Amino acid sequence: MTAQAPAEGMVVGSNLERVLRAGHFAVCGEMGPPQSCSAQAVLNKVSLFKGNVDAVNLTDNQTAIVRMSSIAAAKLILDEGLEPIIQMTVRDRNRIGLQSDLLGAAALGIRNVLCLSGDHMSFGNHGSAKAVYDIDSVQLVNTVHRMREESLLICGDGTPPKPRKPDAPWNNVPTPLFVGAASNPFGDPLEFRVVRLAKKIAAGADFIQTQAIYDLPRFERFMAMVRDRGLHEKVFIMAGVLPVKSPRALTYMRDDVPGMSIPEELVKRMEGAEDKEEEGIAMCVEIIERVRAIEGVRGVHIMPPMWEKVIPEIVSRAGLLPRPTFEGEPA
Amino acid sequence: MLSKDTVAFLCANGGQLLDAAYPEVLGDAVRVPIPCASRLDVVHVLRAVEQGARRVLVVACPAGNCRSMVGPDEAERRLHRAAALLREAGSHAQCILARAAANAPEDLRSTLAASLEDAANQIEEAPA
Amino acid sequence: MIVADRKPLDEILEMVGDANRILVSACNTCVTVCLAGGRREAAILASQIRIHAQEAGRTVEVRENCLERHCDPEFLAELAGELEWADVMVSTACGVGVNLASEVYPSARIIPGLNTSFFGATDAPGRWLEMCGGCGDCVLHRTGGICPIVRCAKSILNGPCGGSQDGKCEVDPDTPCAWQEIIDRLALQGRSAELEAVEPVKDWGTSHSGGRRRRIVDEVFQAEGEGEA
Repeated sequence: MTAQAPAEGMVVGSNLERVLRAGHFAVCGEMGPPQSCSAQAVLNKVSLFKGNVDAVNLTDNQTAIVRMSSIAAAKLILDEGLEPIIQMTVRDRNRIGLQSDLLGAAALGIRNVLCLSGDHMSFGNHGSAKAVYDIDSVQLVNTVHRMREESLLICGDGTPPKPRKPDAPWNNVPTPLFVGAASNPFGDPLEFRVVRLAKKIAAGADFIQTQAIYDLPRFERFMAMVRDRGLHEKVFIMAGVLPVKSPRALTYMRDDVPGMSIPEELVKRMEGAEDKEEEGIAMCVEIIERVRAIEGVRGVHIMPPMWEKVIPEIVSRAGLLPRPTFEGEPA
Repeated sequence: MLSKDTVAFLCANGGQLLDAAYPEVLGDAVRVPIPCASRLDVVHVLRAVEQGARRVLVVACPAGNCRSMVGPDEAERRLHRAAALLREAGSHAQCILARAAANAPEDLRSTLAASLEDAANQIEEAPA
Repeated sequence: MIVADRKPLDEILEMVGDANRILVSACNTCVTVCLAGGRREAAILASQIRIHAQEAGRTVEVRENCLERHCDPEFLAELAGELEWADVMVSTACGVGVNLASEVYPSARIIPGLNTSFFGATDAPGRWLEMCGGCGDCVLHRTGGICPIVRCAKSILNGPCGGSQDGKCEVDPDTPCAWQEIIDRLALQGRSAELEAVEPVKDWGTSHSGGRRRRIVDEVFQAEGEGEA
């Protein structure tokens, strides 16, 4: 077993967990692995994130387009001293494949996983693929939680350290993964979004990353409902933000991305801006400042699609630097 | 002038009466009486083509004139479907819906003239 | 009922190949109701095959018949004489019928005229909607009678996913989100609280995942020495 015992009060001791439990406002980034086997394409982006974020999401064939495995890309950045969060969807693997990959990811030293339904394959480049959806994202959260807390697989078998021998007693090995789930405050129905968040917490979620936030009033309503149920004290909620550099990106999300809410004033603001990139950055920084002020928001998840180079400037201007470091942790 | 390669389905309340009064309009077309245009079946059209028709004509009543209210509309939908099935089978037989009252042979004549011209154009345009 | 679609004529003609004696056999049950493979649709197909042959300058003989059911061996017995005559039979029954006819007449060439699609119900004249996935482990009592297995594109048991918006599914804006429907239905019944419980993983062993399924009623079934292993 490669994992060292987590520090006191920690369940796995990942950098993300330490930052959150220490009460810091956490910062996550997001990286889409390449549509090829190019390790270099992954490594080229490492410096943009290092020192600027606490952990980086590696997407799992996002929008159902075939890309390098999130676990492989995660291992590449882990070796460079950058902490990965693997995204794992239930679209492409059944419970056998999912649990096998969770064991493998943990064996490689990966300590965070975000459990998702995944974009339907009809959106991607293999629309004729057979759907798996053996278990759903809430059940995947519970699966990871149980593998960690009880060292048990879905079927009830344990996870022993060695191949099983008759009569030989063993202690099952827990799978040390900090479990995340997504929440979309902009999907419908709003009231039920909070119920579903509660279900994910009940299933064992440690942290939550939300859909990209532009509609702050609606997000504030969502968070008020979250606080009414005390959910913000049971899970670390990180608000999703997605910087854009054109009004078209906003209208695209408004019109073509399911479960998004884009206020018209933001579209107008981008249209009116002379320097669209600067406006996009300024808008993102403002949203970060606004969500940071909302009680119960414990961090931010910055996901700039194909624009990772903007990360350092955003975190700097949002006053999120320097990122906390811990003893015994690579800087 | 219509010849025997046209099969005309005639409604009892319109087409048949028109044909009785103005038989020259349909010339030598093969007449098939039906009680109402709404009784036209896709299979009837296909069978007509199977038996050699190059043109299938349905004489229905004008909108609002149908004794069964929806006869011409029903006939139109079925004729469209029959035309699609014929094309799928590689047939170029023409399907024509004419809406003409029993006392309005001119309406039928002009629909026929326009359709025959269309068909002629289609044949000219079709690659050899 | 079982809902099916007729295959495109080109595909059927390719399967028929150069056969000269063609039997088109319809089924008077589900596929008659869903206007895909009943007596009338078989007549249309037979006519299309004849017209196509005429256009190609070929002569084919096409016969049509319609059995009460293709999913019962006793009705299939009627086909014996026709299959003696035919080079090929195009079945406009569902896939069940094609399987069974092929089992009863193993040396006959029997080809599917339909694509069998789903278990559904008539929603309006001319429209059928999928209702049941035949998973072998019904959960409808917990979901207000709305099947999440087939009516949700992701078969989610703890829905809805993040793509549900304005009551519609992310996959197709014309399809209602099954989970929105479930939430609304349980709210109507005053049962919203039931949705707070995490639905555990499903046992798919009762579904197609377990291979060919079979049902036996003991007091009726009499094994004839060599029953299926």
